Amino acid sequence: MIIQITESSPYTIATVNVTEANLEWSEAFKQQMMQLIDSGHKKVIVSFEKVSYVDSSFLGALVASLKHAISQHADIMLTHLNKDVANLLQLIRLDKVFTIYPTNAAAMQQ
Amino acid sequence: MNKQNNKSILIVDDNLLMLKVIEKNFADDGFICYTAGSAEEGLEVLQRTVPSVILSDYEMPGLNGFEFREKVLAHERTQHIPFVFLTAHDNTQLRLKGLDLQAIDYITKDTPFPVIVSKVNNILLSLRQQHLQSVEELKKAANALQYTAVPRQLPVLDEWELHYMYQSFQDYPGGDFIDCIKVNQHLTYCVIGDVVGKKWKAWFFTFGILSYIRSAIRLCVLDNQVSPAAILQKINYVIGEDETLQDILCSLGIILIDTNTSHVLYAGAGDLPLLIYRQQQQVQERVQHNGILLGLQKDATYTDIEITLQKGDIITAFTDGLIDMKVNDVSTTDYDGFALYIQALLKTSTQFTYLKQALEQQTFIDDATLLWIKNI
Repeated sequence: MIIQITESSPYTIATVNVTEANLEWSEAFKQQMMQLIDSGHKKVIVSFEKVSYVDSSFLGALVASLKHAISQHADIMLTHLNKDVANLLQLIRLDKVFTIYPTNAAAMQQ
Repeated sequence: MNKQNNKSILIVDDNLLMLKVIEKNFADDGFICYTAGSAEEGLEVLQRTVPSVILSDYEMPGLNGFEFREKVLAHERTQHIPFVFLTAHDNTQLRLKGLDLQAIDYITKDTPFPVIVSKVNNILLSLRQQHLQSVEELKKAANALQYTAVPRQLPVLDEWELHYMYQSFQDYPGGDFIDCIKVNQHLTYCVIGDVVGKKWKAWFFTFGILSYIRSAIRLCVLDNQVSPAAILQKINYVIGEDETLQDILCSLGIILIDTNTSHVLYAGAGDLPLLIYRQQQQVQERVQHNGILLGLQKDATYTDIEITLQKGDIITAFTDGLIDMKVNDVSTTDYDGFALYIQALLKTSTQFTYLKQALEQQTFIDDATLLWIKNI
């Protein structure tokens, strides 16, 4: 599984299970995120603690998941972004569309 | 992770001695080897990586080789991996069953190890050749349709210099595009963008998006709406309305050059910040917009940024392929590092050919595109 699921009601933590989140994993990630949202999970925290690099295909899958989440009245939060990934999100203004927290605990306090 | 241009193999066999010996033979031939003592372990390996080929025993405790093959075929991510059975049996019925499961070949266990390695190499070579042939056919078809994501010729403007660099990823067309549209005597729009995704899928959608951009620009100018932000807003709305583009996300920067003035107007949607090199001061500025990717929110708003360029000043706009690189085989993204590199090149020479030659010597891990606008 590209994401490892941990329940912490009402939150669901989806930890991305690869170091390089790239084209090879983007489709599987998108499908698993869609399934997660379709099965009723409303507050999904995507943790990037294992991830050192994210390519544009994976970002596309992440944004497609967010679009689907919004249509299902669900929310996706991002945590544990490393400096490079956080910087990239800020540069292309994805920081405006995702809520980003340093840790899972910080996301769950909101 | 499957490395670029490297062969990798997943070997599945419950006979651990056999597993070790086969692994050594493939490793000696330059393969990255993943080993599994059972089909279940093999499936676990496939969660983490996509090898170039799978070599699997047939008779194993737990899932046998055929059941393993069925599971590999059931997943979109793994179903295309060439699969070879390695078995003690040379039994026609077994062979037929395996071939029904789209196994590429059978190799019996009494085959000398160097021959096993050669056979697998031949399979990979033959598949690679078939793949290259298909890609060539697609490229020919695309060329025949005159679908290009970069302009054949850039407009010539008084006192402005326009150039671009485009490098496809491993010779595949991707989602990057550039265009320069001269709408009247003094107004020219330069656009640079990237459809999210890689290779053919992204490339295919660039044409839909490019058509919208060209139409939107011309229709807006007809309505005396020259603002790049207004154009972005219209394109974003139309992409949101078009069902065929529902899953498509695209970054786009639009730069309007008015040759009557030394100003340009810029609006961006999820593209990387522009760089402006001030020749006289030899400093570089970064211009960041506030707009989100096209296709994300139908009602998103965009704003124009006015930039004044003195003689000799240069704008460089580029796609994310230029800031992604591999360092010691680890992928990384470094906008700041790339900006410093551009500045260093421009301090040495403000000729486009110098910058282009330097960039073309780099190895990129995605398609890489740069637009150059200079006030001369």
